[in-house]
Amino acid sequence: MALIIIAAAVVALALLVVARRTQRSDDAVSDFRRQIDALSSDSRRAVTDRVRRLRDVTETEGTSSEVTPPNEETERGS
Amino acid sequence: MARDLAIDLGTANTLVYMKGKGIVLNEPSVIALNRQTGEVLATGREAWQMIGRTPGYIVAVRPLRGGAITDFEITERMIRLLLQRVGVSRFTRPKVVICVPSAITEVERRAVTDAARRAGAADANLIEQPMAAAIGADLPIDEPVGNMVIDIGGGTSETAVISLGGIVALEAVRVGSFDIDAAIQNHIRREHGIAIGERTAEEIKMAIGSAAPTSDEVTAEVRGRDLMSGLPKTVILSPGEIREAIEDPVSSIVASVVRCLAKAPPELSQDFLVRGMYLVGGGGLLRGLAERIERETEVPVKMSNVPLEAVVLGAGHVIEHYDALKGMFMGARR
Repeated sequence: MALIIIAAAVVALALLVVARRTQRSDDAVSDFRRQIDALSSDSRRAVTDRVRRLRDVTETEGTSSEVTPPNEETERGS
Repeated sequence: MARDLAIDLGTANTLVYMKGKGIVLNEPSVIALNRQTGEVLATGREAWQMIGRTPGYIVAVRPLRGGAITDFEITERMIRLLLQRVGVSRFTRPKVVICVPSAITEVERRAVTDAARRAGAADANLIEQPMAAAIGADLPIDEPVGNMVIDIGGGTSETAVISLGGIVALEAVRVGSFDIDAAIQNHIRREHGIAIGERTAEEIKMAIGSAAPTSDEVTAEVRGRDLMSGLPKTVILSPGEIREAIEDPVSSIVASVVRCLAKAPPELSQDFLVRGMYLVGGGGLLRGLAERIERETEVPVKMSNVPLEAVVLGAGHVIEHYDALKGMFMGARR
């Protein structure tokens, strides 16, 4: 009887390990897919467009690309 | 709520990208200090204008050389001031992604992350500059094709082959635009007996510097201090003379590109012949450099639309998609 319980426990443990390992490899694959999706040109367009828009605005206003004005207090105060 | 930041901590310029806003700061990586009290007098553009023009007790320094931190304390103070300028306070501690050269040592890596954390970042992660540059230059790095990016910065030049979101081959040398400026300074000192400052050397490079002969060549008049008499003196420089003076650093950069091509797997090498290589970074703006690389490698070279901002734009994209792309941080893939 004890032998059967031990065998069942070992089988259950083995199944658990196999299930976790499969899940981990699935996670790695989906992580990679997420990464590749995030690196696609379509997903990057928002970032590059935002900078291009900012550049166009600053060029028409005749200012530099810097948005934040220098804070003299913090520069000289530390 | 703190907005996460991406920082391109370059030897020449520092750029900051704020999540949801874009590039909010673009300034030279220079800090001016009072040597006696240690007080910070200026940073960025204001400090850059002080280089070589300060009285004895003020020193305007670049805390990074060759892409590496040469003065940890000053770098930390510079990062702290940068973060303050973009609105980071004691109560708003953002996540920060910092772009660093791929050839950075473990000690330098620790120094950069520690400096950012001590300067107010809640978490600091590093990303290799060529990878960030490829993302920012909008190369199709998610596809199973070879993308080659050459990033020529102030202190380092890096060439990387990227495919399917990862770096396949990499070659980095600690030679960049500042070495070209130094070569011009040394040449004028040796051949004309005149001392010029690093800002003047940079202006000569931008005015008549080239890596290969170009159609629109003009001479330039340069003023400096005569080493013999100590008096101001003027000399006329030709583009050919400057080209010869900067031959050593330029050929080192070109040789590193050739070495990277040799490291690339053959399956990807054929992609370069069709797709070409992409040049980013301020050093890539040197006249004739793209043509010179193209001539020596027989691979077409294309200039990025945003050569100076490509690195920080790439890191900015990582900040925008932090959870999906956190696996790309240095150390996460090892």
